[in-house]
Amino acid sequence: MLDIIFVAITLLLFGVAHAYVEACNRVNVRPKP
Amino acid sequence: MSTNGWLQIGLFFCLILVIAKPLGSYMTLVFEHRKTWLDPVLTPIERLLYRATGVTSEQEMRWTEYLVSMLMLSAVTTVLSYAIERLQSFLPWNPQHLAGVAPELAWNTAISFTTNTNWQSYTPETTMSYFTQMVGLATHNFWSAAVGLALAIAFIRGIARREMKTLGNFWVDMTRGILWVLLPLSTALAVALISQGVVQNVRHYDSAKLVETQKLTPTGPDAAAAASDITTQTIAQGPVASQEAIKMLGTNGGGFFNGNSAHPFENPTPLSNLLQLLAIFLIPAGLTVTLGQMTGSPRHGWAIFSAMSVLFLAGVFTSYWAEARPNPLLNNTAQSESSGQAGGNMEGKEVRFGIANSALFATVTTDASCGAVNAMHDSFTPLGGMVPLVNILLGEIIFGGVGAGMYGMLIFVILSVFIAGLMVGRTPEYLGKKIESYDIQMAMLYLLIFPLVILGFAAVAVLSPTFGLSSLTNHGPHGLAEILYAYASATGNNGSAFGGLNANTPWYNLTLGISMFIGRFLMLIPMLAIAGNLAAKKSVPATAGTFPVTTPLFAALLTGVIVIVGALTFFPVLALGPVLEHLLMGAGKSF
Repeated sequence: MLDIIFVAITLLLFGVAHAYVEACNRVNVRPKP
Repeated sequence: MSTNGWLQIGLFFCLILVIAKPLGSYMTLVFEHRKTWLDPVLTPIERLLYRATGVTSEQEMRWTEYLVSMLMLSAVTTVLSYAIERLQSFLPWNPQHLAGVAPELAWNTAISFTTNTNWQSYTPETTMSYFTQMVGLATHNFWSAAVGLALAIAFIRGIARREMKTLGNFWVDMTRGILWVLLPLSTALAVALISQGVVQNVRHYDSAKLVETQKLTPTGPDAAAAASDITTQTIAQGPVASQEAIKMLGTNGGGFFNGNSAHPFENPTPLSNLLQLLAIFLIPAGLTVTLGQMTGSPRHGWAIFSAMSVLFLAGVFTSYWAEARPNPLLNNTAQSESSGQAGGNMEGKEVRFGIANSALFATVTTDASCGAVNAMHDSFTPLGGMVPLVNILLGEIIFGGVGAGMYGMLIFVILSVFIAGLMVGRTPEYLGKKIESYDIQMAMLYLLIFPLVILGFAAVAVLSPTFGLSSLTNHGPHGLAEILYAYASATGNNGSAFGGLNANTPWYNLTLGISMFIGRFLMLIPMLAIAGNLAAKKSVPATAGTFPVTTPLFAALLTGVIVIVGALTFFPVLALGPVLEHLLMGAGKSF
């Protein structure tokens, strides 16, 4: 059971990191004049 | 302090100065895909690897693709290491029949090695099998170092490129970093270490009969039943030299044995100690030359080298000075230096290395994000122990970890250029690129995540008697320093520790694991975002108003910015920890 929890925590953390990449990318899109 | 000690420190620094240029030039050739003398051997292996894994080596990646590739590799290898640790009792090369590692410890260790931290909440020789050490952990020493190297090269390309959307190919940079840089260097170093007596085998542990029987007399309710005579000593073995080499070159730092580089099988002689010290700084120092060459401004690379050198020398001077002084609490004891007495604080230090080499090692291992130790940092004097702590809190950018030190330093370079621009009222420029709001936003994200994690978790830990303070051996300001050091070391991906804190508890295993993850991945994401943004920019010609980044003035400004940012962020907690402990030591109190 604990193994499933720790693998899930790992995947969750990497999922957050992936979302963070997308967020940093989106901030840089400038609005059209 | 002795002349002999200073000569050894001077020799170390001169060797780094001499090696930096040839190694840096070699890395430029490797990452610009130019000809090197290893090509006839390595190019066929490289092609075979790409064919086997389906990598299209000509395909360039945007910064987001580069990062997602890196995250995928890291996620898969973290889970793989976790599985190996848990299942080691069913896997080969386990002559001691060690059981599977407990879940929270296995997870903490998997994250620790993936993030290049190598924080170890366990005793390796009684916890990890040879298979786990070699396949589950030492492979990470290569991967995590190569990831750092690849990201630093991608950042440098971001500075060097003009109006491009891509930064290179992550898989190609990883492969070339391992094949051309890490493998040849670590093979040569492993052989050199074996020549000095570092062991390399997969044998069952040896057993030696003690000359004198030792009596074990425990205390507590079951003391009488547990009392016994000890007549033999177990001497742990293992494939140490092969792991030791990449442990230092990759600035990983995870020891094969609990004693790390203080153990005679890991670091037997003064020469092996010098080789290990050199191995830590080798690639980070070389990268300053690579930066200068790839961006077309070699003097800029040397300006950064100078700033790093000033901070390094300040650290090693302070550490050596603090450790070589007599301990005021040992009043009536002879502590002056003589032919038969090292003088100063020898607690926790190996006699064969002495004070100068212990102070130097502590400074080097925390300037870089290595974390290997040849002396116990927890036994240093308050100010001597504050040096490694401050080195980590400054972001480990004084040469720094493989790749990580360079990109961390480049964030400070951007900040310095920005501050210089503000002072004269002009748009800041860096090597022909205008530094704009997005770059500074991302730089601030990078700089703020670090203290937020360290101070946040440390604050919760010191307020929690049940899970934060319960595994702490020392109290008062030294106890605070131990907890602060643990979170600084984890978030900075260093891995060294103040050993008075037992971190093998659910709270510390989980929170230190999260700190390591954030300190690695959530910091390098904004860093590479800056690189991607810089690569897309046009080049602007330098004018009379451009702040030159090749001069001593720039090196001084960079050094000042690093110190001021670090001091403003961490001075209050340092005042409550090591500074207060130092003052109380003078008043006769110890913790």
